[in-house]
Amino acid sequence: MKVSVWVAPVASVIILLGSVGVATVTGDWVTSGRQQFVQGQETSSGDVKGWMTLEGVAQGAGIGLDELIKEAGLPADIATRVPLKDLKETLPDFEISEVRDAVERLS
Amino acid sequence: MQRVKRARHLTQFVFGGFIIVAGVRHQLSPDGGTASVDALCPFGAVETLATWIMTGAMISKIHPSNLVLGLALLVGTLLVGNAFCGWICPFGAIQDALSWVRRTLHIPSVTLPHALDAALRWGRFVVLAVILYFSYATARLWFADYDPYVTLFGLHWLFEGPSDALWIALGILGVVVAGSVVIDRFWCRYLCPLGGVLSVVGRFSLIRIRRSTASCTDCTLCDKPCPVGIEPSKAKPFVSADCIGCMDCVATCPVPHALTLSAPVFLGIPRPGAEPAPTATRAHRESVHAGRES
Repeated sequence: MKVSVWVAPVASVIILLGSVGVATVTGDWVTSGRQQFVQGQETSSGDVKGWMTLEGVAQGAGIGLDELIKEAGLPADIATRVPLKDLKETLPDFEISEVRDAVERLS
Repeated sequence: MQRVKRARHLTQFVFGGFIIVAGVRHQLSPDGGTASVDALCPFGAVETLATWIMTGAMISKIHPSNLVLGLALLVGTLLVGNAFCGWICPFGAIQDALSWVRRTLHIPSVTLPHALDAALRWGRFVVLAVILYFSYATARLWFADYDPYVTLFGLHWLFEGPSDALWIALGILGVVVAGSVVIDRFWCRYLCPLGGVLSVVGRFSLIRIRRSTASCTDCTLCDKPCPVGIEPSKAKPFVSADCIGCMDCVATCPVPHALTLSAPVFLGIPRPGAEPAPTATRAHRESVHAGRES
């Protein structure tokens, strides 16, 4: 049986976009493994990742930002909205483990 | 012909634009929480498949979105054939654009000898095997460091400082771009691991492009626009499973019913009696041949 030349491309696009639509509705369209913090949500030190910011860690752990910075031994004027993995560019001796340890002690 | 081509290029443009926007958004996102181009590639489902089967977990940087896209591609290819590569894949669109640049600048293309071309097409499966091994062994998205799709659309080259890994990735991308300038769809033909998977799945498609040996005049006009050089004029009766579903060959064919989209096809086996009745008259055949020779 002859089929229109448009069937394959149109059906392919519909199937692809339809699947994304269905997955979005069912909550299965997840494109990132990064769980967003909720205010005051408990965060264990092991949850501290390089992509997180100091603000995000403090918020997630339910501790004060200034308190976290002081406990981690970081300068008071440190950028708090920069991913932790990028802080090394301005603070060569910085290690993410310092923040993890600080969260551990403060939690 | 022109309507199909225009629609295809428009579709490619839309999906390509979407991926570029996604790459920019991901790079500009303060917490990187928006979808990366990795998360929007169906090949991620293949990369994590072994780990998912063995452990129930996914390798790092692979998300449910990859599985959704991979499953959609599998179902789509089984139902209507592989049109993803020809119409949707942004990296395929870039290669088509490079071919257009070559034609515009009158740069000569390279045609490899048939035997070498056939041998090099196995490269897709070699690349696939290497990726599957290292993805499973390292439990991470190992290929992302070398993948020209990620290198180009991930925009790390634009937003991040140079690194050894980035230079290697840019070198691979450079080779692929250079290859695609002189050989249409160089990456798709010889190296794309997803294309390798789809060429296997495509053999089981319910819809295939079929050549009627009774109607075909062997004018080979359909071979000229084929971006992956699979020579539909030699199909017996279904075109190669390497077909990317661009439909340029079907739209180009001057003989009614000589090259058609045929359904349903079961396991690529032609049904007896499914061959369309010959439609090309002697005068038609002679006019096509005369047009080819003039």
